[in-house]
Amino acid sequence: MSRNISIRVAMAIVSMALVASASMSYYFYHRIHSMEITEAKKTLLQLAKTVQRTASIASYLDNMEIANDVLLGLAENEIIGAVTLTSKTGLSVRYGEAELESQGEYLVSLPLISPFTEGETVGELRIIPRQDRIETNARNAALEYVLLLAAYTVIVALIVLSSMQFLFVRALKNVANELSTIVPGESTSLESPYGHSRDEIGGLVQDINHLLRMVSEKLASERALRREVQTLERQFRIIFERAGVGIFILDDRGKMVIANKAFTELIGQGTSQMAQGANNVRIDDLFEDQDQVRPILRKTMTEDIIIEADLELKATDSTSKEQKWGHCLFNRIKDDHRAKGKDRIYVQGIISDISERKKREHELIFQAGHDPLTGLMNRRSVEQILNEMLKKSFFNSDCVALFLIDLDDFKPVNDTYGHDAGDKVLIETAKRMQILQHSNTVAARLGGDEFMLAMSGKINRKTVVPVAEQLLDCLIQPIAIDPDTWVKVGASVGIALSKEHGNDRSHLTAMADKALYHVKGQGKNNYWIELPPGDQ
Amino acid sequence: MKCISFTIFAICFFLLFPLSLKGVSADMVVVVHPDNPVKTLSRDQVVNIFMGRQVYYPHGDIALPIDHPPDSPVRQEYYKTLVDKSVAQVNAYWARLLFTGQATPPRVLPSTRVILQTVSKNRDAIAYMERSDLNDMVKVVFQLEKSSL
Repeated sequence: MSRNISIRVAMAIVSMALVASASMSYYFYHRIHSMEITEAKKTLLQLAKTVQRTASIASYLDNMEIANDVLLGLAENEIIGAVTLTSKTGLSVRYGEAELESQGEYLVSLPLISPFTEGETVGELRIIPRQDRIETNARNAALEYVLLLAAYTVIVALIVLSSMQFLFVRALKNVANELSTIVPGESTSLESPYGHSRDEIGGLVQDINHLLRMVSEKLASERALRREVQTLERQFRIIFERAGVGIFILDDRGKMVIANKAFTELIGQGTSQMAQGANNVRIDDLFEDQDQVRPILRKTMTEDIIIEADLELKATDSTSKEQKWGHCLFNRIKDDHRAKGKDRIYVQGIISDISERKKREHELIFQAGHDPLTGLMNRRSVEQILNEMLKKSFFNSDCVALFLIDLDDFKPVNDTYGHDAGDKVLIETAKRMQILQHSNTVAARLGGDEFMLAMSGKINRKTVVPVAEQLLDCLIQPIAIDPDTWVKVGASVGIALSKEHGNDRSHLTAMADKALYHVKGQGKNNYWIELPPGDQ
Repeated sequence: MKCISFTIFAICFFLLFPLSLKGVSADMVVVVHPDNPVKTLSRDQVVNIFMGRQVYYPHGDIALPIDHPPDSPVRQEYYKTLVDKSVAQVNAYWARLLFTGQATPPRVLPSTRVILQTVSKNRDAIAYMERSDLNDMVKVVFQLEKSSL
């Protein structure tokens, strides 16, 4: 302790005692001194009065002997310097050496009255005191008193000091020492110092114990709470971090505030960006179709609803052909934890990886719309495509050429070499047809050995011919069904043109079919462009 | 009869009793020989003479004071009246002086009759007595004031 209470108390008491005794000593010294002087004077007067009668008689009678008697007795007194007895009738006796004149007020002068006549003064008795003696006596008396006072003060101070120490300081120190060893949270309590259980120190100890108890309890409950919180936090963290879905939070400008691991893995791209700090990343940067994402975000922020959408994510590397799709749920969060200002608005998002599903979807769609064997479109989907093509060509003033292709001599192959061979033929045919495919050409397998080819553009009767011939050439080439076995199947092609036969699909198809029938009747392995309606 | 005499006796007794206590009825005087040149003396002078302060008469002759006996009521009355002191006190005064050698107390004579005789025969003598004891052989030089009863 830097400030020891014992020392402080002791110093306070000692300094007070010193001040008290010093001031009192000063005061009393002077008082005693002057008192002693006054006493001395009184004594002198009383001495004079003692011998007054006899001195009066001596004076009355001018009797030297009696006068001597009186004066001698007086002169022996240690505080008397000189005495004189004078009578009105001439007697004058003196004893002592002290000067008459120099004493001033110290001089004791007693008139001597006639013993037999009241009021008649017959002489005078004078006493001159011994100044130095009186002084010395006074000083000694004063000093003695002062010393006594000092001793008394010292004793009292010591008593007070020790009393304080015993009754008070020691108890306090014990309490303080005990307290300093206490660790909050332990269930120890202080003992009341002996004999103090009823007074303020005891009260203090009780209050301290009460506080300690409360602190203990508080700490215990805080600990429990913390444990709870930690458990919860761990659980939440597990949920957040290990979730199978990506969870993220955006601020009101679409910037990433926080995202979990699943999210980062899902979006893949920009893991370096995420590492730098999620705030750099804008959510719409992560999706392929940003124009689709922005309205969704806007709507989320303004309306208090959950918005679901399947969104394609930007590819992480350009080489992979795999698409990444996420099923996203967005909703708005209001953070009203802040005391000041408006609530902050955040967007919370959950994104689950549906790439597989999407892939499956796409596959199914593809499968639904394509022939499994050849990979060409099937009838149903090509009809739709045709409709689209015809519509577009109508507006563009283009022409759609429809080729219906029927394979010649397919059945014999199937019968001779089996279905597998037949399949191979079909596959090879489809491949060859696909060579002709561009952006405005579609090829389809309508069923069995029937195929269709639709072409749109600036086509007419004349320009379609080389295409038809090339097609026939292609298809007539031998097909290997085994490394050693080759077969030949030709094709019959019926062609219709939308510019001549109209934009109605079924009609156009019927016309192409008619042309095909014509070819088949004419010996196959040929093509025939159906005549314009007027020419039939 | 008895009652009346008794009453008279009682009255007389109570009237006279105070007087009997004192034993002295009236004034006192200080006397000298008729031929003494002293005509009158002041109280102070009387005191001085009887207390030994003054040994001589104003005219120069020696003064010889005379005292009644110590237990005399006249002496008692005299000193009481003159200096308001008891006989014992006066004796003590003279006793003090004894040791100094300057003690000349007044001469003690046995009775007023003797005193009268002595004063009438001595020119320097001076004495005191009750007025009632006066005769023409002595001269009064001072009258004491009546003492209070």
